Amino acid sequence: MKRILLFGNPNVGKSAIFTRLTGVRVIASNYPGTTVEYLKGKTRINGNDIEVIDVPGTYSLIPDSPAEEVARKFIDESNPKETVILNVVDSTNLERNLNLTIQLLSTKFPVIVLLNFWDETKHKGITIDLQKMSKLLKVPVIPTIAITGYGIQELRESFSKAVPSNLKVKKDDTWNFIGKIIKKVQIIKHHHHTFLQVLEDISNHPVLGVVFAGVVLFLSFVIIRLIGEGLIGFVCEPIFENLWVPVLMKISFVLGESSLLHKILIGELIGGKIDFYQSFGVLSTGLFIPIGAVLPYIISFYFVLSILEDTGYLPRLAVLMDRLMHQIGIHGMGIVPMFLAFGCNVPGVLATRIMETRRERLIAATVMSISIPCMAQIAMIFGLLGKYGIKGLAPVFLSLFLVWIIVGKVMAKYVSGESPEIFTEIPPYRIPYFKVLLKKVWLRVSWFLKEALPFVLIGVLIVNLFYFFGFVDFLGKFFGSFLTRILGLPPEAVAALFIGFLRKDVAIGMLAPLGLSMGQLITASVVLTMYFPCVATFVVLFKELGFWDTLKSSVIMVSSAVFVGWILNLIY
Amino acid sequence: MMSLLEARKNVPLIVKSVGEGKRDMAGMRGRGGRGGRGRRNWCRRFSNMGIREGSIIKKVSMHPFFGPVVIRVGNCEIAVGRGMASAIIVEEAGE
Repeated sequence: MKRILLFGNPNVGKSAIFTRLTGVRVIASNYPGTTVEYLKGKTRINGNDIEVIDVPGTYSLIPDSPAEEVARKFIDESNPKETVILNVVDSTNLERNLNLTIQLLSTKFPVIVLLNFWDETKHKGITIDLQKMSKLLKVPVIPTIAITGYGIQELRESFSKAVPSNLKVKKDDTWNFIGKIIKKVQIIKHHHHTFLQVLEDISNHPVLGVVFAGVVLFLSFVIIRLIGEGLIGFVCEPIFENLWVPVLMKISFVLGESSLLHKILIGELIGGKIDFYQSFGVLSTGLFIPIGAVLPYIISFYFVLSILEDTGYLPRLAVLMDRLMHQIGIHGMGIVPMFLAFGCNVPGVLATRIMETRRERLIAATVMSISIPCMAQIAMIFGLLGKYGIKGLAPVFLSLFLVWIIVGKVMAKYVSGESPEIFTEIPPYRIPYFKVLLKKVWLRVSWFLKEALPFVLIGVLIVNLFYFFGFVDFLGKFFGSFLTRILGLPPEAVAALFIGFLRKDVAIGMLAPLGLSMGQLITASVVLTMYFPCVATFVVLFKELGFWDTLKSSVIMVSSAVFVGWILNLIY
Repeated sequence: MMSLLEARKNVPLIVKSVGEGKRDMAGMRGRGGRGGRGRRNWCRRFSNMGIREGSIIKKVSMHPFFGPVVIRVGNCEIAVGRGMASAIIVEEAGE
């Protein structure tokens, strides 16, 4: 045996089983030629290293979505003699899950069936006869509780017993056959609602659900801010101030304040000291913005988002938001990519894949890149306008929300294609498995570090070179009158707009030393958020949407940014 | 016999048919779009989720302003748009 394939419906705890088997060394990669991501790891069984693959969740081997096509491909390309399929089954939802099981059993692969969430069957009054089930399916059936690790040892020992089932069921007869199995192995008794089920009823209620959503979102916001500010105040700033500043000051002394290298690496000294928001050197501001100011918020945002995801709250929110989202021509599940975009637009754009049609993806990706500021931008906007309180911050986010809905509505009217209705499973509330949660946060955060950090450093480097060689003055003269007249910004702000293509947080940071008024800061923040996506997002947009749709999307962005900037300039 | 839209909440319903007749096509296309999507595809997805002729389901809630309908099948809840819900024909199962 060389390979283990983990198969199962969505939301059956597959990732938790995967984490139990593989430990920490996990790689997320795209299936060749597709945009579908899967996880790969290694485990040791009887002294042999074995590859474990977390196949994307699927309801059936007859594919209905790109993710399910990939699942199918794993079956087609693996060698049945060297592969064992682990079929993870939600034991509280046996009937629906067995459809996939039966299809897997009719392949040539050895299969082991895992009845996950075994503990929940007791709360829900379900009893399952394991021996009978194993006999009927002709494969080992093992009860597991991934969160506690129950059943994993038994699983490890049973790999040697795994054989192909050779079960023959006619396609049309599958549901009948499943019905018969269920009748023989499962007994359901009446039970009282558990606490989580009461919560489920509340969050599905049309009125109480909205109240509940308000509470959840407010709490999420508070927690994100609490963790973010906590990390910045107690971890990041002390480290930078106490450990990094002395090093920088030594470098500064060696280089001499007026040299080119000093300008690039350290930047300007503000009052003889390094100011991480204003000095603007590669090693000072360039390192501090992504690591000191943004990373803490990225961590706390994805931590909270992963909790919402793993407890099963997001689909419920999608149902509540369905009407609002239909205003912009996409259904409720569109809230998921929108949410992700608040962390970083790139995963947001990638997540638009969960939408079924091209029209929906174009609308979602464009609206998101125009009007949803990523955590990096939000952190910088708070940094710039925070001192004015709600008076400074509200106009920015209110304008962005209005832009979101207006651009969305216009696109929904004119982009051709179809917008299917929502059709999604709402899994029961579950306590998240902490290890899976942390792993998810880590994958997302490390992605930010790999993708964003180089761009920030290059961006700051380019800005400094531009300043040094007078290119910024040239640009300022060239676009200056346009900027001043339409947007009411000083010519120096043009450099920020330019750099905004590389990194928007850096661009917003560049506004700090310009001494802008509150109105100008509001205009600049909104225009910078809207006018064009950062280069990382742009590349992903291009990959996801193709040339023409990216062009359309870009034209919409630039024109609406100038228009909104002009209006804000008139107001302030 | 009635569509899921008209059915009472929280009583067992037996599914009589899914996606028969004409109006299902309009419903499954959704609003504001053009063109249709194969019915077979939807029926299979419904079937995979446990909504097919003869299965017992419950209507849990119906969100206002033409929002989605939440259905309980077995131990699992599914949200579908109203157009699709109107193509699910049910009958009260009684106790």
